Amino acid sequence: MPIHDQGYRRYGGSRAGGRAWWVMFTTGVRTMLGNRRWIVLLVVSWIPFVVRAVQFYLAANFSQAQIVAPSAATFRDFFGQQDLFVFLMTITLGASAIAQDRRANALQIYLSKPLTRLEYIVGKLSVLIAFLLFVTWVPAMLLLVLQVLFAGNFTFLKANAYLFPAITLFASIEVLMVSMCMLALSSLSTNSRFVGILYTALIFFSKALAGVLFAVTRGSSFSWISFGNNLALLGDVIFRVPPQFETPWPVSLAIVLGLIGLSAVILERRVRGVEIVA
Amino acid sequence: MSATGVDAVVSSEHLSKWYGQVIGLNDVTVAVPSGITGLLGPNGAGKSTFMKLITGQLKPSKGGVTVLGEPIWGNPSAYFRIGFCPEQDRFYERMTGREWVTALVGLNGITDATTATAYSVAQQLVTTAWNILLAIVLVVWAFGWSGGKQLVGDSYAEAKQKAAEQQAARKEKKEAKRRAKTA
Repeated sequence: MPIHDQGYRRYGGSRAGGRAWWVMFTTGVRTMLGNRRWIVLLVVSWIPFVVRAVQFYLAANFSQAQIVAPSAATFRDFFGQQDLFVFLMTITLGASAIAQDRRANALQIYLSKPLTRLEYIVGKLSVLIAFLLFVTWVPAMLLLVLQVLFAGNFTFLKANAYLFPAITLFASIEVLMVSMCMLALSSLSTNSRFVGILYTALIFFSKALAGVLFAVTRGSSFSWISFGNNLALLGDVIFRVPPQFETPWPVSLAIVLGLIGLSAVILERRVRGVEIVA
Repeated sequence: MSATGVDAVVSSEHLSKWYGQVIGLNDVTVAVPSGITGLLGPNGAGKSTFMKLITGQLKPSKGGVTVLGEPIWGNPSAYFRIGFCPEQDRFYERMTGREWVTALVGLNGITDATTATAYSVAQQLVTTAWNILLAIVLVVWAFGWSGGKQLVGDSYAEAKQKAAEQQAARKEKKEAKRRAKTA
């Protein structure tokens, strides 16, 4: 058939429904994996895992290295070390997640497709959550498996069986909170740099304020003001290590859940194909 | 155009939209049949508001709108059957054209395998068209300047002669004018 005869033809093939969020997810992951700087960040974020793996190996094979034998606190500390990478990845990936779509006026394009607002948000959230779990939950679980392999027995695992759910629960809470907060901030602006700076400022300002109140009151009962401190306190409780702050953990949990809820409300109001200025 | 055509592609009944105190669209009852329809009007007439209402981007304040017989607001499954190209769309710097189009058709429920097949067919067509264009350019370049007469026949030579005659006539006219001025 000559080229000039091939005009517009309606698609007559089959369609798969209900996979819109999956399309958003796969597209986001593919795009990020094509970014060299992002790959470098992913690789660097696994350095603490390698260090811990060496520590576990030494503790399991050399009696002189028993001083570095793993405990529940080791896993709690590992999450503390990964906080820096969680922060960097959240800034790098999350800040542009919705802001860039708003800048390119792509929200209107997306939402004129068979895609609900919820599916759009879930799609964006899933990309961020997947990468954050890749640097928190995945290496922590692998460390647990490596400990068993290096030790050649299940003694540590039997004594600390709660570590499996603890790692899963804490990673889920941390990743969900930071992802939701960042997406909510990202939906407020069209400038991803501004979003990144705002997120950084909120984290550090709340931390600094909690520090000032600690200095004034000589106690850590105001630690709940800092977003990071709330997560840290929940981490201590979940991993059954002595809490770093005096704030009751239900208060921290309520703040974390409140932040997730507030972010959901912001996303519900901001993610619209057409911005209505009444 | 009938107000409530049964076979209308787009149909609205007393459709109104307010943005707070501002009226975007006021009591529009219309049925758009199949085929090409243009929407014309002065600034502020409500063209964009109407487009956003019939593509389900905005919720009507009053009245209703149906597209292909189905209510469009809050009905994403109806979007499978429509295409919308909004204004001011820009392009992502981080995505290639293929990735962007693949993602968009994916949202329409078309699988990656089907998209890849369609892409290869499109690529083949573009490559063929490009090769034909390249061949034409090469032939014209090879014969057009060194031996155009042999390639395109007398018409080329005739056109060349006509252009030369016209140029000579213009020159002569100019010269006559100059002489008249001097006299």
